[in-house]
Amino acid sequence: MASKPAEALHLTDSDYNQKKKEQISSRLQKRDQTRLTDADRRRAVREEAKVTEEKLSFFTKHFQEEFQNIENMIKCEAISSGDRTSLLEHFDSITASFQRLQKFFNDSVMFLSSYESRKAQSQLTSLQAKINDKRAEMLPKKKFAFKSKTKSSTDTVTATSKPSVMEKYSNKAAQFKQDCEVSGQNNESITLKSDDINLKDVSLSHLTGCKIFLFGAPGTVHISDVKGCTIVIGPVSGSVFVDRCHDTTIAAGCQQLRVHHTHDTDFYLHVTSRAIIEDTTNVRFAPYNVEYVDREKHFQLSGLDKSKNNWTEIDDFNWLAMDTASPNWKLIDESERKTTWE
Amino acid sequence: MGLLTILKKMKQKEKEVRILMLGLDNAGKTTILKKFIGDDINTISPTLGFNIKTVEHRGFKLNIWDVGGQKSLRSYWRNYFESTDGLVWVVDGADKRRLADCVQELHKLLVEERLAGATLLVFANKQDLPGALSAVEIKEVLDLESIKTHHWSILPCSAVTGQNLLEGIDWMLDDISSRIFTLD
Repeated sequence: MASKPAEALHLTDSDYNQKKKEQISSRLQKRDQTRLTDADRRRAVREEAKVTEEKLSFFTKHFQEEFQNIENMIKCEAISSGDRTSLLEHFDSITASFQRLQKFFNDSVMFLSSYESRKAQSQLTSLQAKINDKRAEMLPKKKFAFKSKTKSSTDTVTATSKPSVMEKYSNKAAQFKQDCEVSGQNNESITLKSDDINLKDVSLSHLTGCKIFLFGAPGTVHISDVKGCTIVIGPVSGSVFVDRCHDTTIAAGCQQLRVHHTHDTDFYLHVTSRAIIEDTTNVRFAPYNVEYVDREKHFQLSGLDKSKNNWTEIDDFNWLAMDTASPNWKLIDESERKTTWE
Repeated sequence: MGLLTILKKMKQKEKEVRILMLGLDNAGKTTILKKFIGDDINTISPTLGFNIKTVEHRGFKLNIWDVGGQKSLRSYWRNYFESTDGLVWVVDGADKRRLADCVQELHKLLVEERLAGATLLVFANKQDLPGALSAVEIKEVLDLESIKTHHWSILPCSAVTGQNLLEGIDWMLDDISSRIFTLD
């Protein structure tokens, strides 16, 4: 019987040993595990740092290269200062390179330290200033002003460096003048027929005391600086534009009427969309009542809808209140309307 | 990640483009807009205020703002500058009398800080009218070559016939998307 407890004891003993062994090995295993994960983590951190470093060194290298490159370009060594066109091209390419560099920097900002990005940004700013200075030095900027157009002959700088632009433009305008413009007349009676004006842009300006008849279907009509005139126009497919007129009577069919800086003027209007007035006072409106030969033909040509006339609906840009009517315009009483136009 | 990058990412997701259309009165801004989206162009009135239209085009959502060009409205233009991706400047090619005005107004806009990033498209409109100035002539008068602050392009167009409208908008979209939507 004695052996049994001994055996039991022995068993318990070995059991105990076994347990302990297991415990130790599991502890060891656990420790090993943490060591391994630790190592992993450290390695990952290290690698990440390396990538950042690589990115950073790549950025610095590329940035400095490109920066130097642009600085060299700014020196403009290969180009003589007189050659305007190649200078212009040169500066264009500098600007393009600079924009590329700026974009590269913007895209890289994500992984740059704030010190790095500030440094690069300040370099860019100074580079931009340098480019601007150099451009101002090599290509003195033409003063931007329209006055130079009228005195281009006296303005020697513009005349020598780039004479063509304004000249060409005023030539073009002059050529246009012969085409379809009535200007600078006093107390005349002028009639233009459809062959001269159909679908064209017609201009009436600087007229005093004239009677103007445009029997046709122009594309648009511009009326400016007119006083004391009677102007009769057929149906206009586009808009009629009135600027700086007074004491005048205008009859027209059109898609839009735009009136500016005008006062004391009567309109006999067929308008298919809308008429507007701006900076205008004391103007009056009546429906279009001009009759002439070929009127119907011209209406067809202009494409205006004869059945639609919004002559009573005037928008005043200086009167935005919706509830009260603008004091700047009114309708002409039927009894006061003009009936003969010759 | 910089704020700019975040903003770019957000835009990229939405693919939304804001286009502001300006120009003198009677230049044809509203007609261009209506023609582009396929509305009737025969009933257009001078714009008292503004129009806004949203269209899907080539996978982009275009918000086109068309603001009236009357002198009394021009001082309000600046209210529409914020977050504009593209500026369409419409010129009445047949209106030679007010080109000086047109140049001045355009160059006033170009120095605006809030429009600094915007792509500039100039439409030389009304090419259907005989005697309209060509795009080349308008380019010279507007002094476009001197613009270094914006990407720009000029196209002759006609709002009435629809000539070149699509080409212009496509160019603008290409330019805007190369600027905004390329950050991957």
